[in-house]
Amino acid sequence: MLEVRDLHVRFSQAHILQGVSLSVGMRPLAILGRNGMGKTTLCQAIMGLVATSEGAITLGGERLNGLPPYRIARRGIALVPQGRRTFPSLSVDEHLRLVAVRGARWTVERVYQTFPRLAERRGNGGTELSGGEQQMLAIARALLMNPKLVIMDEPSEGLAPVIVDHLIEVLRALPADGMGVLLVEQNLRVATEVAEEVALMVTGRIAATMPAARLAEDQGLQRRYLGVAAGGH
Amino acid sequence: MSLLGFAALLALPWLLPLVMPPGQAQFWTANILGRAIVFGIVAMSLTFLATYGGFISLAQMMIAGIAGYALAVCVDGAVPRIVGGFGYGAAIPLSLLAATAMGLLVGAISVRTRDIYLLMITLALAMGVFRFVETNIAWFNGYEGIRNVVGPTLFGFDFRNALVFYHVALATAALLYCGILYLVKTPFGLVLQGIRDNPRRVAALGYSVGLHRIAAFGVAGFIAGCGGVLSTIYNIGISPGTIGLGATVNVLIMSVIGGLGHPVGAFIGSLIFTVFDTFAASIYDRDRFNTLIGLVFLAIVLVSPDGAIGIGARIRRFLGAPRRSLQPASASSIRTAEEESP
Repeated sequence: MLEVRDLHVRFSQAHILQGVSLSVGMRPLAILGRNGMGKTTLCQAIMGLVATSEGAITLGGERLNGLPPYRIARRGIALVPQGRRTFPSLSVDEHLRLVAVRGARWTVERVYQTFPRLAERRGNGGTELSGGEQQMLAIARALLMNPKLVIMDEPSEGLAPVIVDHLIEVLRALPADGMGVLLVEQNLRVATEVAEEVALMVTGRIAATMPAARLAEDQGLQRRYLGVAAGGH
Repeated sequence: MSLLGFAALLALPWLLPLVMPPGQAQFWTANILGRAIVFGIVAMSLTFLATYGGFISLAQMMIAGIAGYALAVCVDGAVPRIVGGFGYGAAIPLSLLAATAMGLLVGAISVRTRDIYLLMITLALAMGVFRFVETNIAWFNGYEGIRNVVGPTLFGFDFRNALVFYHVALATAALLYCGILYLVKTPFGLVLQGIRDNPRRVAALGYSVGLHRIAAFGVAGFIAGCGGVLSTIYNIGISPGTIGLGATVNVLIMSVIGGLGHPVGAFIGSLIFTVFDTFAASIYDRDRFNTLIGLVFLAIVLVSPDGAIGIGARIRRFLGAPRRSLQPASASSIRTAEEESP
């Protein structure tokens, strides 16, 4: 579905992405890597939020790079950005109605069934929510776009463990809806429980791709690419 | 509550004579309230852009002037006759169309600018049009402007009657005001508020920030155009001074002292402004009444950065009446949207 071929991104002198290639199909893919490896830049490059200097991004065979972000969004990619980025001046309900499409698979009603907590707080402003609620709102906002592919940039960041469990549950259910998932994470447990395949990112390149189960078991690999001794943090 | 307020405003021309001499009451209806409503409509177009989109446009008075000039140029009976041949029934919609088109144009030209640069580019456009109409004789009769735009007769009521004018202006303002409150709850309005908070995020949600900005300027252009038509009829004509730097700044002052948090602030601001503009000369030294006006505005902005509607909210808080704030966002939150760091 999504194909990225030899993608380069430069910010003046800094060469952030140095030839990233990956492909996401119907099976969820997670990208893992330490801070500063270019994971967020990759998400933004796919979404058209930063300019790419070389390489190709295609969705279902159609080239995306060079398109403005809103066209990329309409082609069927939704980004749940790092840090959630809810709108301070819109209420929960307004956030959802902003993107909802009548008669689509995901509707506001379905969001409220899936995330009962959001239904309780529908009148609250986007910044009056807890971190977990904001994350649910950001995910719900992306799902309402009914995308072909949803990209999540560190959705578990700063969330309590019990909320992370709920998050994993929600993300695992997405492929059944026909939605592709590209998950960018630092949290090994979230990545390996949601995705079947993981790509390891080191200094702007994909260093290795492997089944999630293999990384979950191999502490040597974890130490080498992620600098962690045990799962999670 | 707001219905009651509207009813009170409708009845005001009959209520005023109860508390003041009839002559003075008529002066208030025509010269204070009528004028305040007309200016309020123009100021509301600025407030709409600022409150919901975070765009401060100084072109709104100029856009109102475009509608006024379009009316004066087209309508029968204007002196001098430039195009003429149109009745008010055709000339007024044409003028509103011209203002909307100018609004869209200003929006398109300024679409990539924000903050101080947006302010400067809209000011430059306003001053450009001002200088053009001031020096162009063939179309706008230059410095003199166009006179004798007396307004239509509506169902047998003459616009020159202060009561008729007051009620038409009030109804126009109420319709536009309700229209704005409705519009900001539609997806278009929500996108606009999203743009104020974070334009990049709105783009990533599949909305073109540029097109929505331009459309918002078009809406504001229409609103300003309504004010411009009414103001031209009120003044029985239009001259370049109507859209000069002074008038442009006055509209900004009205919006700010009223409060850039809610469309109602525009009308409160224009009423305060009109009252002081009218009476300052009689209660303070004739040569220095502008000092008084300036001090009053300074005081309002110092006491409450959110303008007069902010003072109302402050008093309610002080009295301990917890109530949901009028404003969707305080003026101080109209700031550069937080950017996502790459």
